[in-house]
Amino acid sequence: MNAFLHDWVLTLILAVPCVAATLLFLVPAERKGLVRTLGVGSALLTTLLTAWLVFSYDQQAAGFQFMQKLPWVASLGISYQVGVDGMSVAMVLLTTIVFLAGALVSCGIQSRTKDFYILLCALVAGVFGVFVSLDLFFFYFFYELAVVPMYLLIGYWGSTNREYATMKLTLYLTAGAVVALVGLLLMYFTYGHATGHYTFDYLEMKRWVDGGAGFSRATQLSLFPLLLVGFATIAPMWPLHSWSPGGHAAAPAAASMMHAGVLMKLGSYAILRIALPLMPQGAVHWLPWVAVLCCFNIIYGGYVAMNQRDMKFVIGYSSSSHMGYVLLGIASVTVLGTSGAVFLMFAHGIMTALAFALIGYFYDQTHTRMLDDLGGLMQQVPFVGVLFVMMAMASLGLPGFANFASEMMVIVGSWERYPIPTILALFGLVIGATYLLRTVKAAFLGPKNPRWDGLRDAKTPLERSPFVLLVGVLLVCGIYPAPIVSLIETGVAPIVHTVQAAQAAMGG
Amino acid sequence: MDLTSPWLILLLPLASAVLITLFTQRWPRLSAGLSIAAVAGAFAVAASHLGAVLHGENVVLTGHFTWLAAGGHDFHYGYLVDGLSMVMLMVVTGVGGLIHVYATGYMKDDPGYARFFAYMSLFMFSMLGIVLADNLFQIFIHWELVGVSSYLLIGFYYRKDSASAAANKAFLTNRVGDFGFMLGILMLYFATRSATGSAGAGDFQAMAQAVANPAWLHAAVFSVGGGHWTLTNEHFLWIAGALTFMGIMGKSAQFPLHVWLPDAMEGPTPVSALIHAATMVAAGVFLLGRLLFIYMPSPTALSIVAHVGAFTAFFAATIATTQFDIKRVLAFSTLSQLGYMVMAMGLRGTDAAMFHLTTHAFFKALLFLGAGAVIHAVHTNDVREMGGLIRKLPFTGWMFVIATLALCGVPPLSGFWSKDGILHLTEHPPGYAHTWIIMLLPTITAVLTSYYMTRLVLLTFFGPPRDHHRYDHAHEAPLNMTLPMAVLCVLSVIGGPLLLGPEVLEHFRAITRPAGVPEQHYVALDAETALHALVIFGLGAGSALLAFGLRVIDPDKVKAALGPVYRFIDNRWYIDELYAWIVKNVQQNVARLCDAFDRYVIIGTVVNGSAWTTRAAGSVVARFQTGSVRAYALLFLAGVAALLALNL
Repeated sequence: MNAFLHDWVLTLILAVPCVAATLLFLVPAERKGLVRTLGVGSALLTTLLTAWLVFSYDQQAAGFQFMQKLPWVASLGISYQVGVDGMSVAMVLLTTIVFLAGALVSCGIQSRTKDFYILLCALVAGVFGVFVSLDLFFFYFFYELAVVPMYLLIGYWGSTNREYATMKLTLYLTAGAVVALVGLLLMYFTYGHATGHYTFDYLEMKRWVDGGAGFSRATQLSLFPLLLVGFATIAPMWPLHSWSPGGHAAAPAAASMMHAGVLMKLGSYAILRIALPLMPQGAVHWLPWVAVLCCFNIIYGGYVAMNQRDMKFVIGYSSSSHMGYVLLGIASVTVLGTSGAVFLMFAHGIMTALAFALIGYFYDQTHTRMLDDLGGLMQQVPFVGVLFVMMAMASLGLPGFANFASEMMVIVGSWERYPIPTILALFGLVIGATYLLRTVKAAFLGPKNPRWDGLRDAKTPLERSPFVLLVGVLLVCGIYPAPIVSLIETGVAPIVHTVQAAQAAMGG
Repeated sequence: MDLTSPWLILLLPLASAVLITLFTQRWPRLSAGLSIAAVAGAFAVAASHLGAVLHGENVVLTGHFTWLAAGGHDFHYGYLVDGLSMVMLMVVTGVGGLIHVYATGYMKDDPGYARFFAYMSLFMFSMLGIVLADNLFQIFIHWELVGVSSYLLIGFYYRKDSASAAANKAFLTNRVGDFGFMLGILMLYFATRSATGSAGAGDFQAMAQAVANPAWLHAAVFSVGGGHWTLTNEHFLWIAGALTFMGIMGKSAQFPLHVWLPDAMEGPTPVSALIHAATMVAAGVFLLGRLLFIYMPSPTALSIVAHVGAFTAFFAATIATTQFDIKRVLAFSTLSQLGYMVMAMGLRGTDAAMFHLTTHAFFKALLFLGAGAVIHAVHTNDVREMGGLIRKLPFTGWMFVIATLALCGVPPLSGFWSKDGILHLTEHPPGYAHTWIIMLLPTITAVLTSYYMTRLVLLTFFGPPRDHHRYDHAHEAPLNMTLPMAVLCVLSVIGGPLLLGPEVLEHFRAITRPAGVPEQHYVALDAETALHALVIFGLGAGSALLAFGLRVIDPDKVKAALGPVYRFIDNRWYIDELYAWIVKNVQQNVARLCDAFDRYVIIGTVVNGSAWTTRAAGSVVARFQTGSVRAYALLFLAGVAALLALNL
C-alpha cells in the first residue's frame, strides 16, 4: 500500500477532484444532498491523501519526491511528470485545506448546486496540477485550467458588478498567462536549440542550469521579465492588481476563498518554481525592481483599503497589500526571507479564505457588505463576530497566528538586502492594523442595530466546521511554526542558493 | 513534570484562558476560580525561586526551545529568571492575584463574567511572557500579545462606541510605537549577531556579552541594513536605543504616545488597576531595565530617555489637576509616575525605577480598586456628583486616603522611599542630563501630585454630598472587594524598608542593578529628607485644601484668572486634537488620493482604456470582414502583388 501510494499519491490527489467533477456530471441536479456529499467527500479524501503526503515527505532527503513520469507526446518532449518538494507540499496542503473549507461553506448554495461543485472541483484540480507539475507544458495547462472555472463561478453566482469583474479578471489573467507562455516557449526553443533536445521537462532544464551551462545572460535578462510580468499579474503585483479586488468582491464565498486563498498564490509560486531557479542571473538583475514595486503593493494597497466601504473590497485590497510582503520575501533571496514568503502565502491563503467565508456567511442574509449599513453585529452573530475578530488579528500580524511568524521572517530576512522597503513594510503593518480594526469596529462592535435582529449565527457543528478548521490551522502554525517552516525551508533553500551563487558570480 | 518549572508560570494562565474560552463559559464562578487558581499557581511557582534570588544569584534559571528556525536564524522561546524578572514576577502575579479576587466582586452581575476572566488569564500569560522572555523577539511577541489583551479588555463593553474607539486607539498608538521597536530590534539583532555567533536571535545574555566586548562597543562604524548605511559608533547606539524606546513609549504611555491611556479607562475598573496602572504599562520600564546595557554606553540615548520621562511626569501631572473623572485623574497620575520611572532609568537608576515600579503597583492598584468601590457604590465616575462619601464608605475612603499619602511620598509610607530615591537622582544628574527639565520638573511634579490627589480625595470623600440620590444609595463594597484592598494597603504602607529591612532593600537594589551601573546613594530616613518630603507634600496638599476643603480660595475664580492656560491644560495640551487632525486630514487624504488614483488612473485610464483601444481596434479591423468574396479576392491580389514587389 505504501509503495503504491508512494508512486501514485500525487496523481491521486490530482485525480480525486477530477473524478468527483465527472461523477457530479452524472448526478441529477435535483439531488442536492448527494451533490454536496460528493463535493465534500472528495475534499475529505483529498485531505487524507495530503495528510499522508505531508507526513511521508522526507525532510532529511529534501528535493523532489513522490515522482512519477509518463511520456505523453514524445516528439515534442511533453510528458506527464509530477513531484513535490517542501515548498510544493506546503502549497498542496494549503489548497487542500481551502478546498475542504470551501466545499463545506458551499453547502449553503441553493442555485445550481451541482454546476457550482463541478466548477469548484475543476478549479481545485487545476491548482493542484500547477503545484505538482514538473513539466512546463502541463504546468501551463493546469494554470489555465484553474483560471477558466473562475470566469463561470463569478459570472453566474457572483454579486456586485459581476459581468465587468469576471471579464476583467479573465482577460487580465489570460493576458498574463499569454505573456508567460511566450516566455516558456522561448525557453523551450532556446533550450532545444542549445542542447539539441527539445523538452518541457523542468528537471532536465534545471539540471542543465545547475550543471553550469544554462541560458546565456542575455537570454535570461530578456526572458525573465516575461515570466515575471506574466506570473506577477496573478500574484498580483502593483500596478497589475486591478483585476483582484473587484474579482474578490463579485465572486461567491467559496470562489473568493479559492481565488484569494489559492489562485493568487500560483503567481508567486510560478516565479519561485520556474523563473528564479532557471534564470538566476535574470533574477539577480530584475528582482530589485520587484522590491520597489512591492512597496506600492504594501503601502498603496493599504491606503486604498483604508478608504473602502465595502468589506470585500477592504479584504481585497488588503490581499494585494499582503502579497507585497510575499514579493518582498521573494525579492530578498535569503533563505529566511524567501521561506517567510512561502509561509506567508500559506498563512495568507488560510486567513483570507476565512475572511471571505465569514463575509459570505452574513452577506447571504444581509445582502449588504457596506460598513455604513452594518454595526453591532457581534450581538446578533457572536460566533461569526468572534471569528472575524480573530481573522482581523491574524491579518494584522498578531503573534500566535501564522501570519505574524511569516511576516516576521520576511522582514528580518529582507532587512539586510532591502532596508528601505523593509521599513516601508513595517509601516504597512501600522496601516494594516488601522483599516482592519476600523472594519471590525464598524461592522461588529458598537450599539445593536435592530435591522439585523433576524440574523442567524453559525450554530451547527457542520456550519461551524469550516471556520474552526481555518482558524485552527492559523493558530497551530502560528503558535509553533518550526515544523512547517523547516518543511518549506527544504524546498526554498536550493532555489535561494542557486540565485545567490549567480549573484556571487556576477559580483553583485 | 517539575512543579517549579518556570514554564508553568506561562502555561497555567494560558491553560486557564483556553479552558474558559472553550469549555466553561457557561459557569461564571468556575471560570473565575480557574483564572484565580492559575494566577495563584504562577505566584507559587515564582515564589519557589525567590530564595535563590535573595541568596544573591544573579541568573537563577534559563531554558529555551527553538520556536522557528530558517537560514541560520534561530528564534528561541525561553525563560530567564534573574533578579529583575523576579521582582516583576512577584508584582505581576501578586498584585494580579489580588485584583482577580477583587474582580469577582466588581464584575458580579456582568453578563460577560466568564469572558472577563478569560481575557484576564490571557493578559497574565502575555505579561508573564514579557517578564520571563530571554530574547528580544520573544519580548516583541508578548509585547503584541499584551497589546491585544489590553485591546480586548478596554473594549470589554463592546456595545459602547466609546469603548471600542478607545480600544482601537490603544492598539494603534502602540502599533506606531512598535514600528520603531521592531526597527530597533532589527538594528540590534544584526549588529550583535556577527559578534555572538548565531546562537539565539536577540538573546539578552549573548547581546549583553557582545555589547560588553570593547571591540564591538568601540567599533568605528556599524553597518545597518546589510551595509546600506554606515553609522558611527555613537550614532548607532543612540539611534537603535531611541527606536527601541519608541516601543517603550507606546506601552508605558510616554509623551507623545501617551494618548491612549486616559481613554483606556473605558475598560472595567479592575482592568484599569491591573493593566493600566500596576503591570502592563510598567512593562516598558522593565524592558528599559533589561536593555540598559544598550543605553549605558550612549549618553545621548540615556538623555532622550530621561528627558521624555521627566517631561511626561510633569505634563501628565498638570492635566491631572483639571480632570473631574475619578479614573482619569488616576490615569494621568499613572502617566506621571511612569514618567518618573522612565526618567530614573535614563539617569541609570535601574534599582530606583524598579523599586518605584513595585511600590507604585501597590498604591496605584489600591487607588484604582478604591475608585472602583466608589463607582460600584454611586454608579458615576464624575467627582462633581460625589462628595462626603467617607461617611458612607469609611473603609474604602480611608484606604484611598492612605494610598494617596503613599503616592504623595509622605514618610514613612512606601512611596516616600521609592519616590525620594528618584528625586534624589535628579539632584545630581549625570552630565548628559544636566538640564532644568531634569533638575526642576520632577520636584514641581511632586508638588502637583500632592495637589491633584488631595483635590481628588476632598472632592470624592469630604465636604457635603453634591448628589443626594447617589449619596443615599451608596454602600460599602463586599468582602471579596475589600479584602484585596486591605492587603494592598498593608503593602503600600510597609512596602519600603519597614517590610524588608534596610539590608534586604539594599539587596533588592543590587539585584535589579545591571552590571556596570554605578551605585547610587540612597535615601535614609533622617530629619532633613523627611522634612523635604513633607514640605513638598504640604505645598501641594495645602493649596488643594484651601481651594476644595476650606474653600478659602474659589477654584472657579482661579480658573477664570488663568483663562487660556487653564483651557490649554484642561484640553490635555490639545495633543489628542492634533492627532485627530492628522488622522482626518493627512492619513485620510492619502487614503482618498490612493483610492482615487486606483479608480481613475489605473482602472479608469489604463485598464478600461486598453479595453476601449481593443474594442476600437476591433471595430476598425472588423470593417475588413465584409463577407464579400470579391473584396477578399481583391485584398488577396493586392497582398500577393505587394509581396512579389518586395521580393523582386
